[in-house]
Amino acid sequence: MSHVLISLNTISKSFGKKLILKDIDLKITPKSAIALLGPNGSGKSTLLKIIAGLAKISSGSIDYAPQLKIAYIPENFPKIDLTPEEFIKSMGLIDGLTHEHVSTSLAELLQAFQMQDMRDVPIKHLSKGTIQKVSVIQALLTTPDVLLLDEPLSGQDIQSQKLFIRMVQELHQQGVATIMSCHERFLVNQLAHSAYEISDHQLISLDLSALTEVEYDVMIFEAPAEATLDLQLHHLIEKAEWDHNRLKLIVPRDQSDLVLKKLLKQQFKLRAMEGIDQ
Amino acid sequence: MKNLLVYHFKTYLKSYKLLLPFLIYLIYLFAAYGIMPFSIVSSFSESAGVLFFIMAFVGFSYAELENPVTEQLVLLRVNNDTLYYLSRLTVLLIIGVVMSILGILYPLVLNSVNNNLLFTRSLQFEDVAIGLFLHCLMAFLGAMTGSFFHPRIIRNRKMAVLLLFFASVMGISKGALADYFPPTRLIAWVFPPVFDILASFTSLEFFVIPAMALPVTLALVYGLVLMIGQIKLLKRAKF
Repeated sequence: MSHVLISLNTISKSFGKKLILKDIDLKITPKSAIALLGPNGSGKSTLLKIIAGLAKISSGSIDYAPQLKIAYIPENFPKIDLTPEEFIKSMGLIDGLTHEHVSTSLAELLQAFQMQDMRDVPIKHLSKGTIQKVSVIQALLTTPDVLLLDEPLSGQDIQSQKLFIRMVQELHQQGVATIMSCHERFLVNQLAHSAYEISDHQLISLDLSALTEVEYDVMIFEAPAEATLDLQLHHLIEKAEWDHNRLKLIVPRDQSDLVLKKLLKQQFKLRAMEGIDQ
Repeated sequence: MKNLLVYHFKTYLKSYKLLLPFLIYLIYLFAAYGIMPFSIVSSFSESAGVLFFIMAFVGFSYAELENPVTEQLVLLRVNNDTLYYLSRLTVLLIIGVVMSILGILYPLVLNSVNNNLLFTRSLQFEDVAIGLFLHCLMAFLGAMTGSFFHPRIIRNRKMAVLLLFFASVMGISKGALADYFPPTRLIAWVFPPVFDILASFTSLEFFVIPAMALPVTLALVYGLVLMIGQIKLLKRAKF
């Protein structure tokens, strides 16, 4: 049996009088690949911060293996004044890497994520998806023991999503434990061995086999002015991301045709469509 | 530590938030040393007092600039919260020393340009050394006072700005206030001991070290308490 890297022992968390998490027990080992599911505000991000030791717990205890290296990909990376190169280099040097090592890794990662042209642009001027790439690259500069991912694919293009999934899978093969919060069930299939839903402040174990049966398509539309998605469409869609008039949808494959028909009727224009490999 | 300092400096300088207080202090120096001659002790004391306010503003804006997400990312890398917060305060101290050097260097240069006629008497090495120390001390006190009102220590920003303004003004005016309302002496120790230091030079022609000893010790202790206090509070507050 693998040794335990992090052990959450009956922890609870409240913000003032509002209870967020109650009596959570979780053991993270080098083989862990855990997905945390649940609606917005259910406490996924808070749980990740608690695991990282960044948030205070109201009760319970947390044990960490000695010399544990934790990397974290936050959901909303801030719009800061530094450029991606300045920020990522600084993070690498603070990590204890040499200038040469940081420069080499940075060049490789920027190229892999197709960001070479943006290395000198202040992060505050980059798009949401590109900023999220910076968030991912800073975490992948070194190999951590535990990688925490908070909605890691938010806003990223399909190529970057695929690259990211491959990189995380490689890290996992190297024995890096991953704990990820996400909305997208397709991501769970590819990056997690076990999944939990935070429901009623507690961790409920989910049956992954039920999730793996679903296949998805990614569709990118150009939307007409002031268009919105109606409630009926929302029920058919796994995830929708707007970037001005560009709409990216992740849709269960058996609903793709229906969603496509409905949106074309509403004057949306299909610009790209691709299946997500399982 | 070196890489942390470089990172903090880059982040702060790129925000251009230092530009305004730097220019204000520069304009003050131009204006304050406009008509000569001056008493060395009173002009250095006044300049140090102004630097206290400038550095309180710098400390506050520096604390405001800290983004919680990047803070979390760096904290995870450093794995030593105390080191992280110390590195941030060290940056403030370095800025304070640079501003102090500016506050002393400007009158020195002006004095030599004016054939040593800027001051009412000739400048001695002790004046420069004690003057620089006084500026550094006030910069330290101001920086620690300003940075103490960190967004994670006082979450209400309007309240933080008002409290900082009140504490800074009280720091310099608590002596005069106590003359009118003696009971305020009971709570005067809460505010930065700016008045206590400046009062020890009032009407003096030379800096007198024995007279400075107590207020300087008080200021050092006060600054250190603020420094240790904010590190402890930030470590406890978390995210």
